[in-house]
Amino acid sequence: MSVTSRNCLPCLVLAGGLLAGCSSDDASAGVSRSAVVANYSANLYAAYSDSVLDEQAFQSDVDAFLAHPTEDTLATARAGWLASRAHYMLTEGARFYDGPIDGPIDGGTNNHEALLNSWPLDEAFIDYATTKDGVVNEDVGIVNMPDLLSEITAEGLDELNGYNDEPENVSSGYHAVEFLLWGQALKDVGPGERPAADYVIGGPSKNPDRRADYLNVAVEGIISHLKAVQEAWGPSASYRVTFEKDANLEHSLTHIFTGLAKFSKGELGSQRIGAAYESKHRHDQHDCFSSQTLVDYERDARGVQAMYLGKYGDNDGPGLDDLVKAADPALDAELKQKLEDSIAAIVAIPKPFEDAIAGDDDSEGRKAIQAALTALSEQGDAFGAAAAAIGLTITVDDPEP
Amino acid sequence: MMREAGRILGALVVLTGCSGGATPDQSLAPADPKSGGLSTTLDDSSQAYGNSVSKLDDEQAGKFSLGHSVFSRAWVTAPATTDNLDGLGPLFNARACASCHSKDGRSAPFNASGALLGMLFRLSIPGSADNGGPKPDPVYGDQLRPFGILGVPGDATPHVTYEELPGNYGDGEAYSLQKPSYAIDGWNYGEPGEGLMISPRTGPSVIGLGLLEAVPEDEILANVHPPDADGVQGVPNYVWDAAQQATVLGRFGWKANQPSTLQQTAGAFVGDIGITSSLFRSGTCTPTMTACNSATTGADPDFELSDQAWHAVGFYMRALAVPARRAVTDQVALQGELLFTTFGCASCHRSTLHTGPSDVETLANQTIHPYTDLLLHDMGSDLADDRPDYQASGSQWRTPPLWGLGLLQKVNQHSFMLHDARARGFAEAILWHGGEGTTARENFRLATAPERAALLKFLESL
Repeated sequence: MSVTSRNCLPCLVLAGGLLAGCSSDDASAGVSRSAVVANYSANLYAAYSDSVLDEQAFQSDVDAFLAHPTEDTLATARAGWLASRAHYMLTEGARFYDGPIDGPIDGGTNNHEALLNSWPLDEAFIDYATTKDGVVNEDVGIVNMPDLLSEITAEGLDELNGYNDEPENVSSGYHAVEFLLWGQALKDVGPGERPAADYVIGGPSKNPDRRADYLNVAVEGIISHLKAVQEAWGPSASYRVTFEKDANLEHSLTHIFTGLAKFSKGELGSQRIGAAYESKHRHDQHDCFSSQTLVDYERDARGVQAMYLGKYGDNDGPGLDDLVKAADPALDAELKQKLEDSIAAIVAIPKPFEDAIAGDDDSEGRKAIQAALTALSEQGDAFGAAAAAIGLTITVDDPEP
Repeated sequence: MMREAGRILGALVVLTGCSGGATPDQSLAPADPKSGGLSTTLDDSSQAYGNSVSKLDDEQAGKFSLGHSVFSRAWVTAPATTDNLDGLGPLFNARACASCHSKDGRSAPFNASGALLGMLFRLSIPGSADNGGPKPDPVYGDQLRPFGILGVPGDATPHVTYEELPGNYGDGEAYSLQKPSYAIDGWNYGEPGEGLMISPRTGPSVIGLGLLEAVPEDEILANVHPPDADGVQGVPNYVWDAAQQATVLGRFGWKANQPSTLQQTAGAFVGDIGITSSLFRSGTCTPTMTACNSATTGADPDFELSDQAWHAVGFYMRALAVPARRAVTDQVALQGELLFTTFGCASCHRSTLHTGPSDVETLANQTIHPYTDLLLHDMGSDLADDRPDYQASGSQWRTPPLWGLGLLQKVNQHSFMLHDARARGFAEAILWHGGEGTTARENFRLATAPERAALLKFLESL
């Protein structure tokens, strides 16, 4: 999603005037580009490290559930799934510049993000599914089709992700696990109601053993992909060292701003919220099965804000805001306000999301969603303006005012 | 053979200077990076084709969001879990738009084991349909659908084999082209009609279509001319517009056989995925296909694709931005563009067009650099499919736009080019040119290695 600055002429003038100053670490500005980029990397490394720990904690819930599949252990595993995404969602502003999270793996067609967080997914690619006519088809999905994958392994699931070049054939990642825990959401509102007995040998559904293998292996797969991304941001990892090199700071900052702008406007706004707003279909939301979509969206927005401010957890280090503030204090203040506005707008959407998208455009839910879309779009544009203010180009500007 | 030899020589002098380590000639002015005017994106990542143009209003942004979503979605057999996405087939080429236009680009034509992926085969028999288009095969219609939903066999199975054709550049350097041979077997609904003609085609990337649609007809027709000294001309295709019920100028598709993004979109939905719409309400089962005709549809009640979704995907097609040209000050790439002109490539791959009015601010009144004239040219017998398509003969093809093509490898992890993806990169694509492109091809083939490298560097910068 490209973004365009609103105040093109002032931005361009500022950019021209500041280029020389910005290209070196100007002590008078208080904070150097080098420190900002280093802090960004350190925060991301910490966030991916926490994401690995989150998933490992969740894995013990899954182990307990699979050892004794009861409604109680299932409830614990579901709570564990929600908790497992608390830190990962904070990292999503670091997408869309071919970094470790979503750059092609080994020059191929896959990337870690696609294997971790793809949605929406075709339920019938993973497990049994009920058609809109109420007919249960127990012969579909990887769980029920050993011909598709005889032994369920993390590598096998990764290979089937995007099977037949179809984006909705999602076999791995958080949302596959979400579906395995909750099942299809067949009502207009609320989560799926998969029984724990789906995992009991001799229970009501076919292939409980393969289903259990799938859940177990899918969680292992998430851990391994998170670790790969974490390692790429490790203090001495080649990606990070290159990212932080003085000669690459402008390029790296351009990437950072591009990610924040595109994630705000194009991904969180347009795709995660806008598509569902337009279609009014619950399938078009992020956490369709657990009905916890708005929890994710708030985490996403807070993650973007924290990246701008250079914050993560207890660390409040040199941020992009310090650079922008030195160049254009008013613009920095405006962007900070927009980050607050978008979080507030998302928090103001009545839960659950699938209920809020329904109805007329003047319903409380849809008005709140439209407000969030507007806030995220303006936030994306403001990132473009902020980048221009420090001499970076992530937007196409009008040739004439 | 080489016209304007003086200018080519001039370019060569500069190149020699560069390769000899002398101070590069900085005399060439930077190129315009804004290939799509204000509808240019600076994204040069693996997502470079998937950016919206800027300054969409709320309604347009909403359409884009929904269009992107529907474009990526896989359609499923009716009845399904989701009632807005069912009705696949009964016969189909793919389940999602994005199957053949992965990341809004060009899917690889084959998978790792050689099975055909992002390629389809148009079918027809001699004669014309009532609307002036190709006459569909009486048994299989106007395209081969290799797949069917459960209980409905696909039409047939296409195969391709390649033969390597060795050749040499003027300086003796060897190259090899792969010549495809196509075969279709396992016809599941009986023998096709007498004189069956097939045309293999891969899905192109879908960037910049709104800009091309906004180029006024007069500007396209202004480039129609009788054959020049190199035999280059350029003729328009006139095709059936189903919404207007009239014959109009064709712009899109490998033979300029589609008048608009909206019709192209509805046509691909019904033809490739088997999804009916208000424009094309009839499915694609022919009368003799019993299993196909009796399959459950997702029609609700008359057709499967809502007008809202159709218009959203149509808008999405129009609103994908064009990646900015890169290396705009690179003297070698700039020399390459000069050669592109002097060799004669730019006679058809015209660097600059202009858009007229548009409902989208950043599509209107833009100077753009698509490197196409949107006209048909005879490309010779080697590239011919021998299947007429409206006014296009069996050897005529529309000049494909070149913008964004330098990012194909990065976005789609392959560099297959031309209508049937036979070319493995820019050089082979040029070397396949025949007919009106013969002189330009020979100018390239007989050029020096540094000149050829410069031309390729220019193309990689698009």
